[in-house]
Amino acid sequence: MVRPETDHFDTLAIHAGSEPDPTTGARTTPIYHSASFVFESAAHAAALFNLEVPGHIYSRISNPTVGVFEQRVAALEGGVAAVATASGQAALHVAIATLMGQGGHVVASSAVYGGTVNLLVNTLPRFGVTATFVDPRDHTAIAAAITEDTRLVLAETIGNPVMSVLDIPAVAGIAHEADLPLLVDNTFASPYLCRPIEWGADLVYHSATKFLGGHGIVIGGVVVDGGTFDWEESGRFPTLTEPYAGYHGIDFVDEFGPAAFAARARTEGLRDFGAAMSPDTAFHLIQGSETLPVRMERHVANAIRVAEFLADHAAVAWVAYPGLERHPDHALAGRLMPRGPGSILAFGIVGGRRAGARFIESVEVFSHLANVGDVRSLVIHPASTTHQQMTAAQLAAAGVGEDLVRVSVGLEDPDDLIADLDRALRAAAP
Amino acid sequence: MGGRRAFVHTGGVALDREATLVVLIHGAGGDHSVWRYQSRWLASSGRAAAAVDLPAHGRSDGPALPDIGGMADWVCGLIGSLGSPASVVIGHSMGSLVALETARRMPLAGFAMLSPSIRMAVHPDLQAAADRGERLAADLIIGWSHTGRARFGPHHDPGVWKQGGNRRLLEENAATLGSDLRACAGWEAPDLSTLTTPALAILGSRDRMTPERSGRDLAARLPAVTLAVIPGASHVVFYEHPSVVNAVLGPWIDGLEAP
Repeated sequence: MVRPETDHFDTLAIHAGSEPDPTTGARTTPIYHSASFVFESAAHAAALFNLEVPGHIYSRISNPTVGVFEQRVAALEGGVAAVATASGQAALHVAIATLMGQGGHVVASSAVYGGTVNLLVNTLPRFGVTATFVDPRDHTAIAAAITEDTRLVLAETIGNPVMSVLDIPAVAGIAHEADLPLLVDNTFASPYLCRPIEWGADLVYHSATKFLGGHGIVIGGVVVDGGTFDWEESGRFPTLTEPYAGYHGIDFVDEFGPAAFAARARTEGLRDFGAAMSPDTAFHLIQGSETLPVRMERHVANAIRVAEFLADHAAVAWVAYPGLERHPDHALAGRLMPRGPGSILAFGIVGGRRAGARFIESVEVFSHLANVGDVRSLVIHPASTTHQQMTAAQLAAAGVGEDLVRVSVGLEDPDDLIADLDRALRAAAP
Repeated sequence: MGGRRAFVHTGGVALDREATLVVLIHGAGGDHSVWRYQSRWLASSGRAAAAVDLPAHGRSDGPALPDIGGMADWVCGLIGSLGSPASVVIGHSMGSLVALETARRMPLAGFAMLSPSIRMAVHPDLQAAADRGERLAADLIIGWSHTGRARFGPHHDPGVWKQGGNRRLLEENAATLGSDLRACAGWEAPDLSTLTTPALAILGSRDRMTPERSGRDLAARLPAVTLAVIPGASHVVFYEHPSVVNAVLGPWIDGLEAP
């Protein structure tokens, strides 16, 4: 049997989208610090603006350094194109704005990032886009929440912060049955652990600040077009299937085929909303992406050690980590993420809010901050930080209790991490 | 056509029936969108572009046509229905053979072949995988097609990962891929000594699907051929080096005369 010569993930993580600089020979991708790019001629300029020929015009719309990062993430996620944005939130906004306008409706998992909830509950309704939140494990409820106005089903691979694993094939099936795409926030898993498009999702986005970068030094986002959804057949997405006056009547599906969504997200989303990624940010994220496979393996190995330690600790009431057999999604996680379910976990500390505060203030290796997916181990108390804007009912729906502590396990020696946790838990004991 | 829907992408503008008609024919398992860098450019520069979805591909109705000759007959019918003072047919890979066979069937101003070959043998494992609808078929085609700069990019369209787009097209047209490959394998180069229609052959020096030497062998049989070899280019030369390809195509089309 002949063997295919397609490149494996680890090779793509280092090479996809890049080449030695054609001018200088620089092997790593340079930072192309230029707002604009010179046209070869008046005809070339006209052709670029008419989308006849590919190329860079202005760095709000595209940039060579950012382009390397975009193509790399598209390759790693198994997509057809990607659009990098100033943040993960900008990626989500661009995705929604590309698919719908006033009157649009989103069916969203209740186990999503607090900022996502805020966007959907408090901000987008002012622009005529509404949302219904449903338990991602309740597939009947997901189907029931879909209305004539729904244009998107939205969920996270691993739900923040209770670590519920999305049954991507099942939820994608529900969305597709209703002629809708599934958009998955894959930030917590990273494409090394899970590639949602291969499980049926149509669009994927990331806060690239997290595992894709890994270093926690820049803010960035990216949305990936899987190229799998038939916009024409659905008939619900005129932004992609009808002439767009913003580019001389272009029909994105006719023109760009499977990359229609990404084309509109760039040519309208970045051009008009302007939440572009800077080339500096892209450069840093490119460096991070090159070590993604080795980092994720270590992240997972450390997380398993930490989760098992916490599960046996007298000061810990419960642990939510899909890598533990007792987690309700353990089997599902094993199927969708055979390399491991990431390195973010939550636990309940005995003693509730007060013990939680003492614990947070007692750790020394772990850092108390609002981020995940860093090489450093991080810890936070969501009810008072990332989810503080949510109502009590929304907190309950998301499974966030006052005792919940979220941990992002980094790449330090696991023995040191466990010792730090043990000492802080003892210090926090009521 | 014949009661069945035939989809033609005209490059974003209405077809100018007074202009030279340029028909673009995709390869096995493809559709009109592979000509992303040619169709809109042609249509915006005074030509009437018609990037087709062959039967059972993209948005054209089936059934799939089982051989290259049948596809050429279909293209002849399409050209007849569109009407034009002069027609040029451009094809890629399998489509290059269709372009050649179209030229044998009707008067054309010219025909261009991108990544052609005197013989398009198909590896039996690829044929079997395609017939069974297995992922291996796309893996093999993508691995052999994206060599050199096309392997890792960067691709010219910002953010676009061309291997992914190619994979989606092969998946969408999986039902016809086996038939297309069989059509390629079943084609035998005819006597071309009397085919005086101006021809253009564009070859990539790193093409592993249809190697340069096989393209040269085919070109050598054509009495009126212009040969353009693009150094370092792979099988997907038209989106790996779009500006180079278009710089060859444009003047060549402009130099053609109505048959």
